Amino acid sequence: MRSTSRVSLREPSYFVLAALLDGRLHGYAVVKRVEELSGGQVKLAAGSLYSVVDRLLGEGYIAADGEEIVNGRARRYYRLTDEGHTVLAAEADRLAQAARVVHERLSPGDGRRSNWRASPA
Amino acid sequence: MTDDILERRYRALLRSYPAGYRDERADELLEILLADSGRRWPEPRQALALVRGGLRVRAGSASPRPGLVLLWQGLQLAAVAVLALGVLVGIDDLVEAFQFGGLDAPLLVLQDLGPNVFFNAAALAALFLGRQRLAVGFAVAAIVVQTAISQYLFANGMPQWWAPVLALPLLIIGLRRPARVAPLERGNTALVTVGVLALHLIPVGEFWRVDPVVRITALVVTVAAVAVFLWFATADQRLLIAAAPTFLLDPLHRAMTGSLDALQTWPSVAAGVALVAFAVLLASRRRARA
Repeated sequence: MRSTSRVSLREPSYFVLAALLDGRLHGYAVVKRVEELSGGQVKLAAGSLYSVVDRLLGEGYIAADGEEIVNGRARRYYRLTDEGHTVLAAEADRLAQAARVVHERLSPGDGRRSNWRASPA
Repeated sequence: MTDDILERRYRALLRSYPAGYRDERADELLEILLADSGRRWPEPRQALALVRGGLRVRAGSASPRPGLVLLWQGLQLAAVAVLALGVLVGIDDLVEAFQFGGLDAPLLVLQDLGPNVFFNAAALAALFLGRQRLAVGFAVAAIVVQTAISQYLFANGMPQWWAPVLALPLLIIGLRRPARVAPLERGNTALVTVGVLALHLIPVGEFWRVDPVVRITALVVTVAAVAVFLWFATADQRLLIAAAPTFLLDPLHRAMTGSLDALQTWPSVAAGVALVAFAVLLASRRRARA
C-alpha cells in the first residue's frame, strides 16, 4: 500500500473503482457497470478485469466482501475501501481540473467547443 | 452442451494461470466468460486477455511482493536459460566434432567437450528439480572440471564454458528465497526456457546474405519472432530478465579470444542491456500507476 497523495489511476482501474461507488458488486456486474459508465468505451475482458482487481486489492483500494454460490460456482463480491474512495475522488478532481484547463480556453462561439457540459455523466 | 464445450475450452486457457490462483479465481472468471455465451469457441479477445492475465500473475502481479517475485524468479529463470543454452551449444559442438573427424579420437573429443555438457546438464536438472544447493555444486564442478580437463574450451573461452560461470552467481543468489516468494514451477520454467532458446534460433546471420529473398525472409521471421517474444514479455517481465544473460555468452567468448568484431558483438550486448532496461521500465511503470 502506498501514499494516496501521488497516485494516478489507469482508465480501467478508474472505472472499476467508479463502478463500486454504489455498493459492492461481483465480477460480472463490475464488467457490465464499467461498460455502462464509460459509455461502452471500456469493455473489460475477464483476464483484464482480474488483473485490475488484483492490483486494486494489493493497493488496498478495494476489498473482498462476501461470497455466495450461484449455479454451483463461487461468486465473490468486492467493495470500495475508504482509501479507494479517497484515491478515486482525487483522480476525478485531477481529471476535472485537466478538463477545465481546456474548456476555459475554448471560446463560446468556437465550433470545436465540446458539449461536455450538456452531456450526462 | 455448447456451454460445456466452451467451458472446457476456457478451462484449458485458464491453465495459463498458476494452479493456486486458478483454485481461487476460476469460478469468478468462468462466470464472466460464460455469461453471454452460446458459442463453441472462446472469444479471441477473452482468450488473449486470459493468456496475458496468466502471465502477469506468474510474474507476481497478484503476489504481496511483486517486485521480489519478478527479481528472484527472473534471476533463477536466467540461470536456467543460460545453462540450457550452454548445454545446447555444447551438444551442437559435440555432434559437430564427431561429424568432422572426431570419431578418429573419440576420447579426446569427449575430454574436450564432455565434462562441460555433463555438469551443465546436471546443474540444469538439479535446478528443475528444485535442488538449488546441488545445482550450485554442479555449476562449481562444471567450472573447475572443464577448466582443468577441457583445455580447448578454456583456452578459447567458448560460449558454453561461460555458461556455468554466468549461472553460478545467479544460483548463489537463489539459495536464499525471500519470504512469500513462490519457487519456480517446473512446467512454466520449461516454457520460459524454450521461449528464450527460441530467441537464439532467429536467423539473424541471414541478413548478411546476398540473396534479397533470403534477407527479406530473415527480416520477416526476425520481426515476427521478436514481436511474439515481446507480446509475452510485456506481460511476464521475468522473460526479459531470463533472456538477458544468454546474450552475453557470445560476446564474452569473443572478448576472451580477442576477436571483438563490433558488428557481431555489440548487437548481442545491446540486446542483453535493452532487455534488462525494458524489464526495469515496465516494472516501474506498473508500480507508478494503479
